[in-house]
Amino acid sequence: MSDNFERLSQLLPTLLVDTAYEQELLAASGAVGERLLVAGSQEAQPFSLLAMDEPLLAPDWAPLFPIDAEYGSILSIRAVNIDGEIERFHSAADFQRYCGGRLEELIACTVQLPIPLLERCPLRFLLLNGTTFQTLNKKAAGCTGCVIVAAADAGGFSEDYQTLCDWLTSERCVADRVSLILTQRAPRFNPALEIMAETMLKREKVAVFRCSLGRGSGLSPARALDHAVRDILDRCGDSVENGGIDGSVICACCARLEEKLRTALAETEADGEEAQRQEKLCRSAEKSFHAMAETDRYSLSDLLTQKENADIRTEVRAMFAALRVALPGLIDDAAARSDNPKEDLRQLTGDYLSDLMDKFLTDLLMEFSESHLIPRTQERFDQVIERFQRLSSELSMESFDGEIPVSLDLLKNEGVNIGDYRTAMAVVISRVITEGGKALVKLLAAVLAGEYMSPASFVTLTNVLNKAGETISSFMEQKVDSAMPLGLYTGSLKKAVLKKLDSAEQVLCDQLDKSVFPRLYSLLDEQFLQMSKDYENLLHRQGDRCVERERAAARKAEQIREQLRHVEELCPGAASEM
Amino acid sequence: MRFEYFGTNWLKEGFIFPSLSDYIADTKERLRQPLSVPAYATAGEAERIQRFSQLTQDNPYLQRASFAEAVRQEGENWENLRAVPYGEYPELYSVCIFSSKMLTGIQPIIFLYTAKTLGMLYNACALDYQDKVWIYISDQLFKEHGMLKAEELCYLVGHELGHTQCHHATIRSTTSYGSDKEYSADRAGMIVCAKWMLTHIPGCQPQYAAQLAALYGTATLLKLEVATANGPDKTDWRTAIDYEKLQRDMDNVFDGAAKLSVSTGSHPYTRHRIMAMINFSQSQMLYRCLGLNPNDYPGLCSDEHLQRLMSYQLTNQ
Repeated sequence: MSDNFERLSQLLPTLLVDTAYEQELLAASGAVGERLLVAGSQEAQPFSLLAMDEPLLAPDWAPLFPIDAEYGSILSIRAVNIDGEIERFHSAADFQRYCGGRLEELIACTVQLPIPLLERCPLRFLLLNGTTFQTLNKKAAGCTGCVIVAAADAGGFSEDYQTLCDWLTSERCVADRVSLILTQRAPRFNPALEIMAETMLKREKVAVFRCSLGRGSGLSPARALDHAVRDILDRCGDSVENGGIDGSVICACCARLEEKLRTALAETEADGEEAQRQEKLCRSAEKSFHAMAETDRYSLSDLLTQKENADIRTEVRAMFAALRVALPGLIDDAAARSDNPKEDLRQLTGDYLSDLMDKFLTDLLMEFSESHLIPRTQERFDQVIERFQRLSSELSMESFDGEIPVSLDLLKNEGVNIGDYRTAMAVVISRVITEGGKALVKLLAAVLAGEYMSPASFVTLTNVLNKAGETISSFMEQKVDSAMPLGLYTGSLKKAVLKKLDSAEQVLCDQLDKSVFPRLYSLLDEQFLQMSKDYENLLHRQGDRCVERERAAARKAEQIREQLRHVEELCPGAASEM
Repeated sequence: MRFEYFGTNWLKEGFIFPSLSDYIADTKERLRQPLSVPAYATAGEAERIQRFSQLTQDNPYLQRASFAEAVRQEGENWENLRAVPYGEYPELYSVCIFSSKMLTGIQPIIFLYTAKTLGMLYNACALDYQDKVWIYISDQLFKEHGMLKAEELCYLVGHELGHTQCHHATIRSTTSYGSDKEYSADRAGMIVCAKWMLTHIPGCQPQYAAQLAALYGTATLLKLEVATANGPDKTDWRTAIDYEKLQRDMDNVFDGAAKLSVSTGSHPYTRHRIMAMINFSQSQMLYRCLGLNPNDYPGLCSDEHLQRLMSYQLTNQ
């Protein structure tokens, strides 16, 4: 075999394209020595040419495996069945007996015959049946030429013949090494067959031998086969020695390979360009996400209008006003109904007010959250998410695993699984605001405690007013004798409590402005920034992936170009011949 | 009587305030309710809580007065009290929420303070009154970089919440303290610490968590002791505690091979607490408090045995 053949067979498995077919084709042409294929469809029965004194197979038997005929001094038949068992026979009658009903089980058969022709060239008999290039590569592997057997009275050649001829001419490049036997069972004869065969084989003067399989004039099967084989061998000489067939097959292979490689190269380059384009998109999306987060701040400070802000204060003032009016009556009522009025009032008036205030403030903030903050925040969140979704679909971010990064730490803290993020979003936001709101009420209380009470003060609004209660009670103890009449006692209590309420109202309104809402906005702002950052990171990682893809594509393209050069070296201009 | 939702449409609908009289009656009733006894309390602890509960029948304001007194006393030791928002100390916040869920079930209000006395410098404190819990932590613990691991913070916060759950602040004004109050709180700290590890370390086994809870509890006590001895900002926390050596020491103690070495605390009281923690880490009670079936883990000491060990320690400390 030639060097090129060797090089090509080594090159094939390393190529970046699928070369299974080329490897088969090369293997089919790679055997040493001369061997001819005798192939025909059922009507022509190539096996009938094997007939010696008696037919090897019954006329209607049609094995789908090839039968190899080789020279031997006596008749010997070696059959391999599906289990790999080998049986040997020394007469056609024995073989026929064995085959009766068991032909299906056979997968290979070699016949040794004392025919001098076979000494010069072994033959392989094959029945064409739904033939493809792939089956021919396998079943006709190692054959260096072909005797086509066809029925002389056929209207034309079937598809199987067409495939066989295409394979012989374009894939195996052995069109010159083909002869045709036309078998006759009846006197009819189609004179157009010869011309058709020449067309199919793309050459002139195909040697045709007529063979009689019963009635009609023509050569005997053995003679026809002998003539057909000798015609090929004598006319073309020994193919193996001059290496001509190898060269042509290599060119056929290379032509196919070049085409495949060029297609792969184009695809790889396109993939690289697409990756580059996507990377640019990712980078610019990342920048614009960042810019939006930095500059727009999602307009969070405008979540409430001035009027709405003022409404909150109006509510607070109105509540205090109403409380001032109601409180004396409440105290009187409690004093009247208690069995220990002085002690009960001293202990619990402060608690009552602080609980009331705590609840009122929480409700107030919650209600504003539900009616204004939550829907408006939801809107802003949705804008960001929609933007991201639009981008991710533009970027065809398949690698994006579907988990939208809703980075809300409070929720994470609770270990809640964010499956359906859109539903979860509303929950998240209301929780942020609820938690935030509650924390703020407490924060506010702490601020109150820190700013307005002594360091040893109580620590929530409850305690601010508890402290007021304590102050009241100690005031009572100092100024008011517990033996004092109840009316006088409660009167002093009312005066002290109302005075405390005045300052509490002022503090509350101030803190709403200075602390509560700014803190609430900054809390939301933090969440938005974090979310935006998570998206930015996602985009950044996607961009990095694109760069990687781009680099991989460039590397692959370079490899393909290199391989293309190797293939071109093996058979220059192969592609242009196609 | 609790406050129902008033709605803030008070402007439109008019303000209707709940009756102060009802509030007083309702609050007094609630203040007379017996206090709960936590599952990890010692026998002495449980008895004290029950005794106090009886006293409140006659004087419902006892608890309230105790609370006010506790706040007044603690308040003298610190200044610059501020609430902890989530974003600034996420770990502390998580630990506090986690601990509260484990123990009190009430979301706490968390404060940092600046200590005015050395005793409160490396310390924390928790108070409760009715359905509110406050946790106070010294800001010094966060000023010194890398001082406490998350597990140790769990132990610390759990310990303080243990005090509230055992009503120590409430009871102290009326009854003399049992000397076992720190032991009960240590147990609470260990429960939180072990549960934290079971929740946050993938594949963590209960035995491992229990052992580590004792280790981190011990490490926390030692760290606070070392920090107090050295003074502020004088300790390099990367090398202050050799955890592996500490673990070996504790293993030896448990095997009875040695007494606690000097490295495990100079204060005798601290050493007794460490012993008690080692015992508790091997007890059925801890596993029960972690929501596990102690029968699945052979070799644990029974509640009675744990009580006997505790009595022995209390009489010998």
